[in-house]
Amino acid sequence: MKSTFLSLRQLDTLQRIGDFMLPGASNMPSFSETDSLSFVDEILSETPEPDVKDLAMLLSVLAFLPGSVIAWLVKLAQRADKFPGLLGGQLRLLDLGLRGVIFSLYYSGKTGGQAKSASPLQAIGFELVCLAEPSPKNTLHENNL
Amino acid sequence: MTTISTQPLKGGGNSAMSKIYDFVIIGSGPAGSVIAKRLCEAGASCLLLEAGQDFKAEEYPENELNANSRLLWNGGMDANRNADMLFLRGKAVGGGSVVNQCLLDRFDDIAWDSWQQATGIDWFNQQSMANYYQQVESDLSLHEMQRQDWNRNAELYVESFEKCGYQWAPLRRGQADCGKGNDCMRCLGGCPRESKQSMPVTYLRRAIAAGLDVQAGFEVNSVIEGQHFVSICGQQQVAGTVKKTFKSAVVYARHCVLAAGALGTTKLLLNSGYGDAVAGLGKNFYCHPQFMTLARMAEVVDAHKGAFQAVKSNDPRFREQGFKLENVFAGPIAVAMLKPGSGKQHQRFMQNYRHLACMEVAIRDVNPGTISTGKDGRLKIEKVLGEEDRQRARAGNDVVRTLFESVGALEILQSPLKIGLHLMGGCAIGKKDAVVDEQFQLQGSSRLRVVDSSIFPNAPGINPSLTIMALAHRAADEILQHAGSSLSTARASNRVQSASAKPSNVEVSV
Ligand SMILES: Cc1cc2nc3c(=O)[nH]c(=O)nc-3n(C[C@H](O)[C@H](O)[C@H](O)COP(=O)(O)OP(=O)(O)OC[C@H]3O[C@@H](n4cnc5c(N)ncnc54)[C@H](O)[C@@H]3O)c2cc1C
Repeated sequence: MKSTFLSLRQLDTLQRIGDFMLPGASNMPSFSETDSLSFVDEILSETPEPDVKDLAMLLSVLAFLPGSVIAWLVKLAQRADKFPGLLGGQLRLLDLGLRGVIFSLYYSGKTGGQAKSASPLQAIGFELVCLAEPSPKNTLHENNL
Repeated sequence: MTTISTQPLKGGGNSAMSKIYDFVIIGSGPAGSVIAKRLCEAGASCLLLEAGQDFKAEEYPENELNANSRLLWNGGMDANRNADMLFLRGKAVGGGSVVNQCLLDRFDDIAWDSWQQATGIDWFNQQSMANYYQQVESDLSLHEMQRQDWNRNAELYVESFEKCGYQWAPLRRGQADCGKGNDCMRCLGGCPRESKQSMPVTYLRRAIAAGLDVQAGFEVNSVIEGQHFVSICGQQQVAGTVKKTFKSAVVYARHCVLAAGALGTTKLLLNSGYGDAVAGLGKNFYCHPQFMTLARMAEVVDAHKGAFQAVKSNDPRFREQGFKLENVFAGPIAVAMLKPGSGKQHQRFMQNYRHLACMEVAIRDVNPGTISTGKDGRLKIEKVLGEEDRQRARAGNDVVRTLFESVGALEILQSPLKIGLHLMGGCAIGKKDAVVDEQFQLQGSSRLRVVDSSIFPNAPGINPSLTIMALAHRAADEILQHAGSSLSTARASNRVQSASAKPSNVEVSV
């Protein structure tokens, strides 16, 4: 797996966090089984540079921590409401950031070349239909011109 | 006719770098697009600058991930300082109109009276605004949702309202032909059918036909007012790289119209150094905070299928208490974010996606927030709920719980995450000492006008887009009246004349 924005070690850490957050349940695959991480650049290429740097730095630090400590930190961030003021705000930001990236990848339904399962959206039964071609009625609608 | 470009505008004497436009308009949402159309049709030479990209209907992302990351500022993750409220705003040619639901409501007397009271502006009333509303309503194709448009989520909404004795009404939406069997949740990521009445298929299309130049991928960083013209400095995105690259650019205009939205315009003025001179800049920020409730039902609801929203609350008791209830839903990524936590239990909850019904409380917030920028120029948003706001949210959430219980919900989840979709204020309009005067002119400036949702003096508690467009029509009248015959005379001397007037630290080109 390659990313323009994250190193292999940082990607690996994100994968570990992903599997902790989405370990798989009933017919829902785990995060790594979907290989959705291979689409991380689709998020990061649109993210402001300072935020990408912050994420990369966080992942670099977490890379050196054992899984149990990472799990503790993730859980702590998810209990941010218990902490008042600045600390609560920072923990919430961490929670938003991590869940934002992991859930966006996983529930996008995109599966990478190394996927070992069908997409979670298939497991949910999610499908959106929208006839892509603009109907002639719309393009010719007098109000649309 | 001119085309939309993400590349530097090309063409001899017509190129943006060698030209002083009559007007440069910043931002292509409902406000910027209406203004652009009106000014171009009046014969003014106009350039519209938009930070987001230009998409053809068939190019809108199909996927929720790509829609969020490509069409929303910061992927929809702009948060307040406390990180418990997210602000979503469109970043594309068409602005919020590309990603919104296009529900178009007029303000009622309650909203106009409170604006009049807050500002002293006497034309803030239904009667004076009626013509402007009519203008927009006749320019767009409007559809009142019918019984046959309802999906099961809408049916449950109405069933529960009727069981509990609350009033509801059909929604009015800007749409032309959504066809049969299509799932309109898709058009929150841009409507591929050109049915939703977003700006690219309505006002912008007409503005371009009338000669508008559009530069997409151009984020304005500052505006500098000179004696004879305004220099608009920014970053033009260079196409074709994974890692985005930009180059500095400047364009010139006799007048500049700011329509970058509540956060965009306020940020731009603060970063242009107006914070000290214009008291009130960045204050009075409102966002109709929304609280979503998901209810797990025994049956399959498929709230994501069919018309996305069809009905609304219409109960005077709710209006009095300062909230309304929306018949909405969200894609899988958004639903996953709404449910706190993670792990196996979270995944099991998500497996019930098709069984989820949803309602949302939107409050008319009264505690204003503030918008400021850091040393790095980035936005800092201070927005907390006051006691009155919390009371409104509690009242609305209690009603939602009762409603869902009345139709047999098995499990009810009220998400702690607050979402702001209607971003308003920061450059409040008013008569005296306001950021913007009633001619939409920035305080102390003769060349800058502000016409977008940033001018809202408080939260109306009603969908804002129709009124944003109506106000933009009024602003166009003001601008054209003021510009008068100078438009045509000005065009004769169209070239940049004084090199010394150009800021020296930026490359002078687009
Ligand atoms: C998901 C969603 C659903 C909504 N549904 C509804 C609805 O049903 N009904 C309703 O009335 N309202 C709805 N809204 C709100 C509505 O879309 C906004 O209130 C409206 O778009 C604001 O219009 P505007 O012209 O003030 O600003 P915007 O629409 O925000 O347009 C501003 C434009 O300026 C651009 N810009 C910002 N900064 C810069 C810069 N520095 N340089 C260049 N360009 C810049 C932005 O990219 C953007 O395109 C919804 C919003 C969202 C996010």
